[in-house]
This record gives sequence, structure tokens and C-alpha cells, in this order.
Amino acid sequence: MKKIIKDILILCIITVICGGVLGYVYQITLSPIEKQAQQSQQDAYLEVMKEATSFKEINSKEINKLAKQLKNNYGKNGITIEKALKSFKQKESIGYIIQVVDHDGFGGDIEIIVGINLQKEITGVEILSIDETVGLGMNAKNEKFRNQYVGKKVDHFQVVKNGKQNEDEVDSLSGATITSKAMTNGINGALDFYDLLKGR
Amino acid sequence: MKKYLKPLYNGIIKENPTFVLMLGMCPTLAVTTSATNGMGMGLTTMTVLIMSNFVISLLRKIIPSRMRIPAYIVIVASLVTVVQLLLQAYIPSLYDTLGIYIPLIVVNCIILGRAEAFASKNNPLLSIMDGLGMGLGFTLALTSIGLVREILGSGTAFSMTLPISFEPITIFVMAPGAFFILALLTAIQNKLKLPSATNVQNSSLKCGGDCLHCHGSQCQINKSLLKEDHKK
Repeated sequence: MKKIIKDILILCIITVICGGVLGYVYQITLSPIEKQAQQSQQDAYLEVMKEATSFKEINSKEINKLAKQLKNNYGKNGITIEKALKSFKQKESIGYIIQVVDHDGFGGDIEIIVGINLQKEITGVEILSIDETVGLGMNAKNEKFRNQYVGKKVDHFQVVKNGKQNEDEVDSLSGATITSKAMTNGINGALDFYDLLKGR
Repeated sequence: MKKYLKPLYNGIIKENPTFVLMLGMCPTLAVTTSATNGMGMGLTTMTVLIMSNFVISLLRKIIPSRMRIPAYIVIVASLVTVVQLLLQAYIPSLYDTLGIYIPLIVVNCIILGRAEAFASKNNPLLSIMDGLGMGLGFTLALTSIGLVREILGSGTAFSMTLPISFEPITIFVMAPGAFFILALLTAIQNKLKLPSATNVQNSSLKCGGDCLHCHGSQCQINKSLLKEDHKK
């Protein structure tokens, strides 16, 4: 009996000390982690709209209201508009940045941010989070694939398998049609949402 | 001095955790899709291993033997979380690539294995050296497996394009490829009679641990021998 109590006490003390250390480390890393997250998001925004100097977030209620008006078909599970930002160069508005999640990736959600300028030209596409098959779907992160969208001024993109011919066509990644379609649907959603934002 | 260098040699070559002991196969299979990933996972595991070996060795006289497993797990899990938070805060790029594999380190059998087999019986300094040796051995193994898979599967090495170009065999960077590479490795080890967990001479196993010449019939003999043992 006495032995059991002693064992329990020792384990208890070890656990409490570990908990204390964890709490301390959590406290000191809290603000750097937050800063990192903000920084990486800011970097991504700048990456899709290189000329921008500042961003203003559009409030989430308005986004939700507008997102309900998206009528087109974006694949089986559809898309969600996460965030939208108006971007400025000095004080002049130069376009929108739209953060969209497509739920039809091969390995789940793909989070994309798309920059669109006032001429409805895509200025950049970045992937925030993706969990596709390495060597196949993961190639969506390569610039070669993403740059297919950049600089285009179309209503919707289409995925094709045997060589793109038109402005609005995108070459599918070999062996990763699902990923290519998901990316394209997400970007199409962003383009539609851009129209809604502009028509406000 | 020699006493302290021995664990290093032991971990990297003689008892390499991946190639010889065949411990920690889950992370080995999962993260070795590229050389960089393998190296990152290896180094992170090494950090945790050094710290856990040190702490457990310090506490080896305090932790009651009946309670040792829960105590080890609490210590290892806390250390992993500490490393995870630090990585997230100060090396975000590494955190991004390792992401979900970091919590996996908690259940990495190398860490518990070394705590049980080494740190609980030796002084803190020796335990640190053992952690360093085993960690380096693990890193070396993961990096080389990752390198082979990356070259075959993506046609790159450490994310750099190779001077010779060929059509990469994509399956090698996917899950099945991990098993292919590991199977090849074990086959070579068995053929050359190199030391490995599947190829032990005079092992304590009843069948002798000789997988190379096993045709399954050994299992039956093994079972009957075990039964006799139980009767005694």
C-alpha cells in the first residue's frame, strides 16, 4: 500500500513539473508563433499582388452574404470563401485578394489565395495548405502549374488533358486530374466572387 | 574518453536504429519522400532523443521501476511538444514540412527503446552520447533512404535537379515505394549476411533468426519448442 502511494506521488510530481515546463514554453513561444503566422500570410498576399502596399480585410458577414450568391457548380463538395481583401497601392485601389478553400482535393481541402486586379486579370496564385500525393498532386505547388493561371483574363478556366489551345484552358497535371480540377474550381470560384465583390 | 565515443560508433554503425535494429519503421516509411524531409525528421528526433535520454538518465534513480513506462511517456511527450512549439516559433519552414510527423515522435520506438535499454542504466553524459549516436544513425539512415527514393521517384537530389535527365518512377515517392526500398535493403543485407534484425546469427529466437533460409516450416518448430518451454 505504502509503495503504491509513493509511486503515485512520484509520477504525480513528474507530471506536474512537465506541465509547468510546457506552460512556460507555450507562453514564451505564443507571440513569435502568432507573428510567424501573420508574416507568412502577409508574404503570401504580397506574392499574389506584388504591387500592393496595404490590404484591407472585408468583414466576414459581408463575405458570407455574398458567398451565398455563388451559383455555379464547383465540384462535388464545392468551395468556401475564407477571406477577401481589398488591396491598395498607396491610397489607390488596385484589386482584390481572395482566399478560397476547395473541398474536392484528392487528400482533402486545398487552400488557395488568388490575386485579381481591377481589369479582372489574375496577378498571382499561391497555395496556403495542400495535402495531395507527393510526386503527383503536390506538383500543383510548382510554379509551372500555377503560372498557367497568371496573367489571364477569362471568366472561367477549364482543365484539358491533351495540350491547351485556348486562353481559358489549363493543362492537367499528369496523374493528378482531381487535384488540377480542384485547383481550377477554386480559382473559378474566386473569379465569380470577384464579380460579386465588384458589383456590391 | 573512449567510453564516451563508443555509444556514438554504436549508434551510427554497429546498432544503427533503422538498418540494424529496425526500430522506428513508421516514420521511416512515412517521411522519407525526399532527402530533406528525411534529414529534418532525423534531426528533430535526435534533438528529442538527446533531451529525453538526458532527463530520464537524471531521474533513473527516482522513477520507480513499476511506473517507468508512464513516466517515460510523460517526459517524452512533453519534450516533443516543447520541440514542436519551438520549431513553430523559430524554424517555421521546417515545421511546415514535418507538420504532422512531429507528434509521431512521441511514439517512436527508438526513443522509448533507448530510454529503456540505455538511459535508465547509465549516467547522464553517457546517455547524451547515446542519444547523439542513435540520433545521427537515424538521421543518416533516413537521409540516405530519402535520397534514393527522391532520385528514383522525382529525379532530384536535395530538391536540386540532377545533371542526367530521365523519366522518374513516381511510385517510389509514394507509400508503396517506401516498402519497395526497405524490402530491397533488407534483401541485400540478408544476401550479404550483414547484421540486421531480420538476419541475426545465434539470436535468442528459437528459430535462430535466420530469415534468409526460413521457409515457414521454422515457425511450426518454433511454436512447438515454445510450448515445451511453457510446460517446464
